[in-house]
Amino acid sequence: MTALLTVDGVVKRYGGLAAVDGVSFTLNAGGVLGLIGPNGSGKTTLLGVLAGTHEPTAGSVAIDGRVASGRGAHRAVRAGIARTFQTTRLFGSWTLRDALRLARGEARGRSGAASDETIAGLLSLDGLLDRPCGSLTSAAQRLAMIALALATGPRVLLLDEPAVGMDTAESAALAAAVRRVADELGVAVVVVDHNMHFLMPLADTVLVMAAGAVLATGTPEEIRSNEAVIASYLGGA
Amino acid sequence: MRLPAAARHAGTAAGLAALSVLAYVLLKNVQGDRGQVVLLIVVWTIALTGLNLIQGLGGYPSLAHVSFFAGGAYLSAYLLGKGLPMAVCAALAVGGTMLAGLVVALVFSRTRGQYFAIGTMFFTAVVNLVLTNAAGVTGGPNGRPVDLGFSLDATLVLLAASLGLSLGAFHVLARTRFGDRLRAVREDEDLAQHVGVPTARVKLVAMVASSAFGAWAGVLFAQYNGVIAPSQFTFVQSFLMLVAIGLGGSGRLLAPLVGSAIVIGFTQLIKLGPGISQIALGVLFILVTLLVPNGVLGGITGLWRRVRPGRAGGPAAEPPRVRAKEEVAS
Ligand SMILES: Nc1ncnc2c1ncn2[C@@H]1O[C@H](COP(=O)(O)OP(=O)(O)OP(=O)(O)O)[C@@H](O)[C@H]1O
Ligand SMILES: [Mg+2]
Repeated sequence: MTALLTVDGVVKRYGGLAAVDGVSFTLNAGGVLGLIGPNGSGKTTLLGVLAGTHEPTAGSVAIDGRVASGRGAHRAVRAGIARTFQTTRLFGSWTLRDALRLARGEARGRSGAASDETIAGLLSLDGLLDRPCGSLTSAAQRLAMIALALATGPRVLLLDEPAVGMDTAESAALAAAVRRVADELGVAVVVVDHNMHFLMPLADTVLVMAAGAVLATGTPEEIRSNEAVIASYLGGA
Repeated sequence: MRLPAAARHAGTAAGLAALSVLAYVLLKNVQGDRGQVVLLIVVWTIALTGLNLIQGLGGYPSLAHVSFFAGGAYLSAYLLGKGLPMAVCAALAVGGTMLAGLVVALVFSRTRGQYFAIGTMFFTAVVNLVLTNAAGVTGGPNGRPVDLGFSLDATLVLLAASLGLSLGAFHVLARTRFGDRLRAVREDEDLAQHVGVPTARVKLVAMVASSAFGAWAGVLFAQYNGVIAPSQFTFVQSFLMLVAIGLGGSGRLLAPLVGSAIVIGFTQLIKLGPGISQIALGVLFILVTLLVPNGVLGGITGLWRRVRPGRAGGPAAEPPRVRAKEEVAS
């Protein structure tokens, strides 16, 4: 059986700098992969390549064995990959419902995305669908960004520091929501975050990046006790 | 109380039909300088309905628009001079200009915001240079006569009908997914792409469609005026077109009409001397931008919403100005 998401030898260079330097991994439906690493280690750039934001310099990204990389973000969305951003981005003056409707319409032809109500329920956004996105609290905006990605009916969801700016209770609720998305919708999730209290209990597998390359991969327990990881990243946390 | 959608659309259609009739009556009966003002407002409204797609809905400030207007005028005049029938001339003029719109859209497809504005302004400057210097075809700086293709009355009927039909087309387009996609591009183009909007294609279509409106307005303008000259198609005109859309209220159905009326009114009726009326217009634009950022129509809608009792809350049809988009430290 091939994995749902196959990332094969992805390289992304900016001039002389290899922001991502040969990353490979696979992920199955319903799996949650935690992606960690120091600032500037290439996490966001890797998500960008997966989501079609950037074209890879080398390597490929495939969904169900079909290459989805290097043809623009809108095609990645149609292939079933959706992402959120490290900095909140929403159609601020639109209601969340209008934004979801647009996203759903664009992904037509993909097997049905969950309904607005289902998405709102999963993410605890009930009652906020008819409010302008820009008027939501910052934590709700982070969730709304995920809702927007889910409205495209993705099979792979990429979350870039979703818990940033959230307090402990909010990030716990977020972790539960992401788990529900993986379990109930069968979506494969890649989560980048610096908050280990948020990420470690959520992730099935953790991939550690350093200087663009994979430093280690393993279960959260293995990563916590990995000498190299502690030395380069977790030690300071 | 809200009317059902079908009733509201029928109301809009009836309103636009009435507007066309009114335009015809005015075009037919108002003479002299004032007649010229009526003509220009009608012509500009047709042309600016296209600009209201790319700039109004899509947020792309195109300064190429006057060149599309010129394209329709000059191409039809040139082809008429070759003895082709008017319908063929009009079709080729609009089609040829749309081709130019496609090229402009492709060339500037990677530019945004002020770079797009500067790029398209440059295009208009080049077009104007060609119009001024290719004297063999264009008649040079003094312009060229335009053969009569439509009878005067036919031109008036077409002008009046096109006014209502253009606005009607915009009304329909703005309600399709294409309209939503353009609004999404204006809000956040990158995000739009990441929810699956093929932004490059959407912008291309909007630009080509907008050039068609401009070109058709140019065809009719040339027919009515009987003479066309490069001074009618400068980038100052293109800038005034942008201003008109902003003043009217970007993306609103009647923005082209309201904006044109203000801009043409200022530049034609208030003859403060060359330059001065444009300065006055600039000042007015700044004032409106500061006081009613959504244009005159946006201001009126906002005011109406405030005074109308019993409709607090509800979905915001009117985008809030402030966008909560906090920068999150990385
Ligand atoms: N567009 C770009 N042009 C040039 N260099 C870039 C570009 N984008 C990212 N980089 C560089 O690539 C490297 C990886 O950046 P990236 O944002 O992917 O890191 P990150 O792991 O997400 O960091 P953080 O934890 O701070 O978000 C950094 O050195 C960054 O400066
Ligand atoms: Mg990052």
